[in-house]
Amino acid sequence: MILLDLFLTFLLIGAVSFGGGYGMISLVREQVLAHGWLTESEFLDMIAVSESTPGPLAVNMATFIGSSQAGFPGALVATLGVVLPAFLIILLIAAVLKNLLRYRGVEAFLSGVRPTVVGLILGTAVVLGLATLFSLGSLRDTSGVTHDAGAFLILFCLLALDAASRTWRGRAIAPILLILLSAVLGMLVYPHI
Amino acid sequence: MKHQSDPSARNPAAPDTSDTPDRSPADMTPDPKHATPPSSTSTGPAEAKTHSFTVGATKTEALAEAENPKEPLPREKRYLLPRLFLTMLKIGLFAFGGGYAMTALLETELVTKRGWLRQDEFLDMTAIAESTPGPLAVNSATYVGYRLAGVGGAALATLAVCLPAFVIIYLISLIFDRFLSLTYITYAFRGVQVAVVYLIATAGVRLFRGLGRDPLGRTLAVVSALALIALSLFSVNFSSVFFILIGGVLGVAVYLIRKARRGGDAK
Repeated sequence: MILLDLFLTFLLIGAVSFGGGYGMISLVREQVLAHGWLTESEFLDMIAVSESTPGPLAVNMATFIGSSQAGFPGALVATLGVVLPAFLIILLIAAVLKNLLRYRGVEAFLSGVRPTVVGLILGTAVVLGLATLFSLGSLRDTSGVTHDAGAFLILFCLLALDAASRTWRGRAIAPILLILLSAVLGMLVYPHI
Repeated sequence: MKHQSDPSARNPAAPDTSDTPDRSPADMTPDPKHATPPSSTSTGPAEAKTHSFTVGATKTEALAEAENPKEPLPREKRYLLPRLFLTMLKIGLFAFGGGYAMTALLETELVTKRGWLRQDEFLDMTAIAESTPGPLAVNSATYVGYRLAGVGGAALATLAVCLPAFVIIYLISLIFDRFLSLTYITYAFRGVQVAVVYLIATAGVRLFRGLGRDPLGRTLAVVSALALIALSLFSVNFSSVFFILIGGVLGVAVYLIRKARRGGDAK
């Protein structure tokens, strides 16, 4: 049953996602692809929308995916699922286990989790990059491998603009601005390829 | 992920917890000396007016009062719930970009404007919110909501912070397919996909730098990244959940090994 599926999947995601939205991307991608809810391309679109609107990335992703699969009830149970573990854990810590995070064992566990999550984020970036730039998903099926000239061009532009921003303004370009820029670039580049 | 609040630096009036013996992972019973110091030991004029139900109260009394108010709330507490709801709604609406931007916004709203948390309590909350699973905004909302108004407050605050995002995204999702089928929008989104990959990559690099010089941490990050890439390229199904669990276990293992090398004694 789709509602139960959505709830349980996002419950899992909500329970192990350390490091906020980006930390979840790896697991969300894995789950939506495995369940056949979104294609790789749709997944990237969903991330784009989730990053462009206010609100925690996790809530945005859950609402969007839930809605796409089962309308309003889907959006509701998915969001509920992703929020519940955090809610319960925080309550537990605030009310009872106030000093949970000061126990050295817990600190040690988290000190291992943090770098791992960072690694997952980097790895996901590479995997998605290969898919976007080369249409490369798996080494077992290299038939569709090509290089997307448009994507390379846009990537180059984004890199250049971001680097310029960091040098001359001291900070990177805001994510939503980057997304808008790339949308415009997409509309300029792709019709001619 | 960089906020490691140093207990001894925050509140000079509180008992210094850094002198206590090293706690082994097996010892999970809380030591009464470690309980969060009662608000009455804090200094500073700003919080005097809003901590009416915690000043001088013990933990049990505060919990009891938060969950079972027996008499009508005094005037200042009467508007607490609506104010909590509205503040969290506002935070949920302006929560762009996550991370440090969110922390700054939370601090402005909760500490500076409303005085619901002291600075050291805010740091505590941030440390907790960053170390537990779940979005920073949600964790913070739950924590503040509980501190102010018990479980009900926690639920209300969490609901409020999620509501704007939920509504906006739901509405977008309704028109999305139709939106996407417009040709030029398809082109736009192909461009956007590139940006998304770029954003994830830069986030990863930024977080990697944030790990600091620790060679173990960096190695673990690189190894898990390479493992993920390899598994994906070879179409092997190995969930991220296992990565996280293994990483945590490795963290504990490293801690135990270091402890053993030091002779296994306290500090």
